[in-house]
Amino acid sequence: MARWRFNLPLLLLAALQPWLALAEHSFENTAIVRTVELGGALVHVTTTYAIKALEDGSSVYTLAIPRDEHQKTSWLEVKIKGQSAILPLDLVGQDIKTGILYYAAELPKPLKLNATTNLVVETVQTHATYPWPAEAGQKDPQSLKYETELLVLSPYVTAVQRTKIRTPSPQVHSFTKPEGLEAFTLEDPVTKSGATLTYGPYKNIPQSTSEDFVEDKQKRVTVHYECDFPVIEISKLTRAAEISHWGANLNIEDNIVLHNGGPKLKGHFSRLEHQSSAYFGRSPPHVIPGMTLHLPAGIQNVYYYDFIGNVSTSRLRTAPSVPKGSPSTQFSVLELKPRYPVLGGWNYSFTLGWDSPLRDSAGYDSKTGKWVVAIPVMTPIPSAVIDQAEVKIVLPEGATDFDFYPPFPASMNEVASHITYLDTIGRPTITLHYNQLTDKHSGIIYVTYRVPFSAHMKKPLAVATAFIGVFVLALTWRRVDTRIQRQK
Amino acid sequence: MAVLQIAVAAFTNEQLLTLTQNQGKTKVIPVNDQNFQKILSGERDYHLVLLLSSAVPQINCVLCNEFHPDFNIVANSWFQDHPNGLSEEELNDEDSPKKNVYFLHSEFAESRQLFQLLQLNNIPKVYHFPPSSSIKANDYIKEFDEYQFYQGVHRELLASYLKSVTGLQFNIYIPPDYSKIAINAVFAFTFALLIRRYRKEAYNIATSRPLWSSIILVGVLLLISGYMFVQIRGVPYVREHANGRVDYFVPGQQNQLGVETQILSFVYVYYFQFSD
Amino acid sequence: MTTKAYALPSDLSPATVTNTTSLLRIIALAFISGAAIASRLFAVINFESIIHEFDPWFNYRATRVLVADGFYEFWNWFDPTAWYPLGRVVGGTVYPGLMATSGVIYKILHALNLPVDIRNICVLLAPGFSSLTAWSTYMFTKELKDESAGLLAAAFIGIVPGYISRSVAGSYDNEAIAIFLLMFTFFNWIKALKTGSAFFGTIAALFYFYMVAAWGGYAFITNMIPLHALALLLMGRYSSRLYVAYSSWYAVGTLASMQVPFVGFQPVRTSEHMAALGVFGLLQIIAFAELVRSHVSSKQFQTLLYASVIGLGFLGTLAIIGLTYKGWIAPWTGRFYSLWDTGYAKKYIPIIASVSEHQPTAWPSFFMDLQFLIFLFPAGVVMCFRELRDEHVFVIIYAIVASYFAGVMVRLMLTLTPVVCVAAAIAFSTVLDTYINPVEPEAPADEAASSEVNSVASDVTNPSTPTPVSKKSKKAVKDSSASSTTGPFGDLVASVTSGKSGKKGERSFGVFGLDTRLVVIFHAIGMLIFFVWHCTWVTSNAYSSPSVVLASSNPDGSQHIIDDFREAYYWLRQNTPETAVVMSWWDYGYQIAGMADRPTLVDNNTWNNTHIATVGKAMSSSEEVAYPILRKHDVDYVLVIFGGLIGYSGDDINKFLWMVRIAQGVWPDEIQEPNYFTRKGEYKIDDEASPTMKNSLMYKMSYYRYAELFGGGQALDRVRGQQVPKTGPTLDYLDEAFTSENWIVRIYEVKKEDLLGRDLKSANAFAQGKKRKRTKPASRRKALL
Repeated sequence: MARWRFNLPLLLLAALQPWLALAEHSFENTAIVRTVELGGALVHVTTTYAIKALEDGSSVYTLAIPRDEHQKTSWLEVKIKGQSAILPLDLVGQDIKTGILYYAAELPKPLKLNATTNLVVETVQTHATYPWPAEAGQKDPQSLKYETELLVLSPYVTAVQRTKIRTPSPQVHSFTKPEGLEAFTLEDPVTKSGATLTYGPYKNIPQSTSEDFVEDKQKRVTVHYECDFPVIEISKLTRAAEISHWGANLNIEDNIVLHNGGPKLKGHFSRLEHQSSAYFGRSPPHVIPGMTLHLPAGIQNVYYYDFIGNVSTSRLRTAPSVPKGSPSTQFSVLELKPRYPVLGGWNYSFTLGWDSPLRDSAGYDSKTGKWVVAIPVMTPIPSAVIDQAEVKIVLPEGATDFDFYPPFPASMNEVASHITYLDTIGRPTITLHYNQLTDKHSGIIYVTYRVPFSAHMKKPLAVATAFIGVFVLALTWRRVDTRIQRQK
Repeated sequence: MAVLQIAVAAFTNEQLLTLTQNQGKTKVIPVNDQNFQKILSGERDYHLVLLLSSAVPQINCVLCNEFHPDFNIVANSWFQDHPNGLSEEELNDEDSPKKNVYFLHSEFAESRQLFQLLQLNNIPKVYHFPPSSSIKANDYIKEFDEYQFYQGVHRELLASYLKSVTGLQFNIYIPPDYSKIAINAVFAFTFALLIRRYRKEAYNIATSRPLWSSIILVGVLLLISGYMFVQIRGVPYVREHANGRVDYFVPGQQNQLGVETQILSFVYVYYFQFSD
Repeated sequence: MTTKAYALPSDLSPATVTNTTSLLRIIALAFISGAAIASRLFAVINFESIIHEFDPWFNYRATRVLVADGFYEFWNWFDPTAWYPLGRVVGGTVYPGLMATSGVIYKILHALNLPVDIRNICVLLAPGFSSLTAWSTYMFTKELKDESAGLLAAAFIGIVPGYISRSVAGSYDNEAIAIFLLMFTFFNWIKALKTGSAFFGTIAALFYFYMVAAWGGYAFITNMIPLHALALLLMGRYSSRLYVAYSSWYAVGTLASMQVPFVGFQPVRTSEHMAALGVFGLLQIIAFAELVRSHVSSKQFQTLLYASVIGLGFLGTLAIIGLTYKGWIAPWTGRFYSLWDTGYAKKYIPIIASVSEHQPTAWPSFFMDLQFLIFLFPAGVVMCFRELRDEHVFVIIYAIVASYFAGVMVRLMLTLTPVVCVAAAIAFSTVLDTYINPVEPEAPADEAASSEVNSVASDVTNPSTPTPVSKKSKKAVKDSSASSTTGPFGDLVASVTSGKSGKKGERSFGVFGLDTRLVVIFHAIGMLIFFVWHCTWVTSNAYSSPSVVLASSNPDGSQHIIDDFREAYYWLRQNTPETAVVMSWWDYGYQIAGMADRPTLVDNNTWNNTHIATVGKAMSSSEEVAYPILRKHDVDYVLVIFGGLIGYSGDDINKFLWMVRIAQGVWPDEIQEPNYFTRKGEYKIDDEASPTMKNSLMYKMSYYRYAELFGGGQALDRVRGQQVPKTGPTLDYLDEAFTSENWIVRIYEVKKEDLLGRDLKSANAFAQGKKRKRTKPASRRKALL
């Protein structure tokens, strides 16, 4: 289970303390290596804990995450190095004083005394960077700032730890040189080579979650670097997926509000400069000229419009449909271009939709007599964050005892009824709400439901009756004499 | 010395006044190659307003024909207000002494010299010559100012312009055209008489279908072959080129010549003869 | 017994014939409406389902409000974003018919669970109604001649460009439904007149009301019907049928039409409506006179009649004159007046004169819009004289009046088109009848009679293949009656409609042989085919482009869409504050309101000349003068259309002179047209352009930094075909905010007052001066000095 559960009651410090007390004797970190991949809207952080069990059969490893980092984090998963299985993760509670949140990771099998293993904690942070300077001219480069805590906190004693920060380009304007670390290291606390900053190694760090440690020893580091690709933010994504058995068709429609999170445009947009820079092939990094999206294979009549009609500035290469189950390596590639280049701070909202054959994503389970339809949560947009997402799944009319299995729990979900063309009773719809989706979240929602044959017949019957009614009316009208007085 | 005197001695105010009074219905003094030196050059204590235009069909100056009547109206109205020039108190009004105004008209055909002298390449033009003290010949070429033609009612625009340059009040009196009224009355009367006299025939004519249908026919034919266009736009009948070549048709969907209307009407008549 | 040109099947029961005929008729009508709709869809196929041009954008916006907020909200909708800062009382200043129509359709469809997007309803409204128009034209023509003529007329009006030009998919304008209402009202009027039934009179009145609610052109009906009635009176054709029809129409119609807020009391106050009132009064008098006549002896009646008629007529005119004088009756409105005094608009209302569709019509456009109908038209009109029934009189009047209007104003071609189709259909079907009629008369003299006999006979004894015969027989009857009534009129008919009587009279009987028939019929069919071809061609090429999107073709021949307008409008919509006021020339007001959803100073409903003149003044005067105007109207953005780069000729520089003229109308001493011409009196934008021109805001905004695009090369304006000065204009009070891909739309932001209280010019100069120490393009530096 990738995302932690909020619904667990937060234990307060009182309850927390003894638990930690007994926790800290169970492990020690022989080494912690944190790698921060800086980017635009997303920052990928991979922390590897080399742990050694101090007690026999200790199986619950506790992670500590500072509050502010926790707020930015939208994805958190723990694995054993070299294994694909994701370890179950529980929010234990929050320390009110230090604001640290504790997670308990369940190891697959208890470790013997002095046995070691490597835990890999992967997190994705959204909105972790901010443009600096906040405004940039049309031709200026794009620089971002990223702040983080220097030391990885842990309720256990740590032998050695280091933090590597990789910037997208070797252009690093400035970075913090922490002082007062004599306790942990004697040589230079930070070294820069190319696009990588290395903090550490810092040796024999005590149990670091205590309040006084956080206050005196913990440092903040800031990196000011140049980012040569735009900061793409999707303020809102509304996806509507409509399943139609009559058309054997799955229609997916995305309403997307695009926002350029880079530095705001200083002054005004000059088409002249834009065209000349495009002409010389060096268009500035904070302009979003377009996006290349990978849509599913075998889609038909793709449409791309906004509030005032078609947008004719885009290219599509469709791939042939691939049979269900077989690993689909090929995509339909859509080179999507907004009406205008989206500069720093600008918005652009549009609608993108397509039909795809239902058989590619639906299957009939003859045992249960249920349909199973797979609907992707979103179309992955590289290095973009989706602040709010709403996925609405419209089942065929008359679908009964339906159920849905999202890849990760939604922040909210509701079931409603939706009436569209020639419906009589309306179609059940499932709506799921998400926040802060990243490229890690491109999962698939499985929906199962049962459609009786009668439901299929509803539509034609309704239409037929309507037409017959009209004809009958016409007949009677022709036959009945509506004149007031007969003329002879 | 004397020669020079004679050469450039302009009219005095009184002379011009009498000259104006002696004019016929329109109180505008005609200027031509014989008299323009005499009238324009030399010193004057009065304003001159000169209209340079042409009614010659070859030139086909639409604006001239449109503007000339208004010019006359202004001139006559002025004369109607001041039959004997300006009154004493106006003439020697201490804070701003006024000067009388005289209206001149020069037809291109009769005063080509003058037009050349003024180097005109487009007409009509209205020049205002302020009172001047220069006695040399042809000084007036430098010392006039020009009226700008705008969209709108010419007589009012002209009046306001003159008011601005002379500082005098110009009222406008549009003379009722009695002759027209009379003619109409006579026509109406005779018509009525004829009707009474030949009631029977009149009735037959009025109720004859051939007559009506041919009237309607001609009317419709004219209208659908662009007659109104010709009327409104005042397009020429045919277009003649310098080399004598004559265009009967012009390209363009929103353009045509006068003759096209007639050609087309005949074509249409012929066609529905045939089509039927 | 006369001979037949060809044999007819003789084993069909009359019942079969009639049934088959009616079936065929229905099928034909279905096909016609199909064609009518289909031929209007070029716009959607070539481009997309989008609202066209300018006014439709307002109608579309209003309709959205109607369906979103409901009718009452719409009824008293005050739009503060239009005519900023004045605002506009939309509910009271529109003809709501169009919006109401699509609103109702929308509601019905949604009640049937057909959630059709309102945009598509608006786009497809015009084609839908065009099929209704075809049907009502069929009914109308049927009253005049017969079904076959009716079908022809329906087919003609279905595809004739003159009507398509205003009713392609997406041109969501009042005319879209108005023509149907026009024809249907006329049909009901004719019907009412024939049957003398108050029922049809009332229906006519109701549709008249619908028309009033839908289109300003309702004045045409308001004057056509009284004119017809008057003509009938003068022809001594007064009848109780006329009385009933007219009275019911006028009473109900007028009362109903006064319910439209925009019309209000005009029907009793303005001169446009006086004719109807007058004829109504006259009819009452005459009816009264008739009544009296039936009671008193004719001698007294004569005197009485004379006295009363003269007296009443005199009083009536006096009353009307007096009322007009008192101002109770408003004189003609400008637009209407400009129809009579054709020079009027040019002199007094430049705004009207500036609109291209108010120009007079040259014959080529007649031909382009009506093709071969235009020369069948007079024939048909003259044929109406054969049997001069009341409805024929109507057509004749309609023909002459409409062709006058069409001649004066291009846009009124629309009112001419229906009668052209009707008349042409009458003429054409007469030709066909004549040549398909298998009866061979012995001599031209009694041809008619005999044909009558035989065709009638043939109808009962040996009916033939359904349609031709059943039509033909009726025709024959008509022809006979016609040529018998031809009496005093024969020669003209002979010369004009000489199809059968005259021409072929002198020639041998061979003319009645199949060969001649075939020749003529093939010729006729050929004309029809060419007509269809022409209509399709004109429609697809001339009338189907939504002027919002421009189409050009790539080198490889594929279609390339130039979408600058929407690009810029959408940019405004997404990246400027909701309340940002946009100033542009009035042509684009509706589009900005519709697509960019921003307040505008002026728009296409040109009700406030001064406001427009203000914009004109701001555009045509120098920055220093314009800036206070802009600030006073708190304008945030100024939008100009500039076609110089890709040669889009409908741009603002070409409209500029109208802005100047309109501004000059209000500020004659500040703006003067001649100052915008060169010494030689030419209209130029290159180095020779007059200083006033070069300093005008419009010029500066159009050519700001344009020359730099050519990187020192010769900067060419592709519309004017002139070289743009190398050192382009500089702007101190405005900032370039956005320019669309092909530079068609250029948006400038109006700077706020300088914080240090300097005037922006010096402030700018100061800033520039600082910059100049750093690197700066040479052109700018020169321009500054």
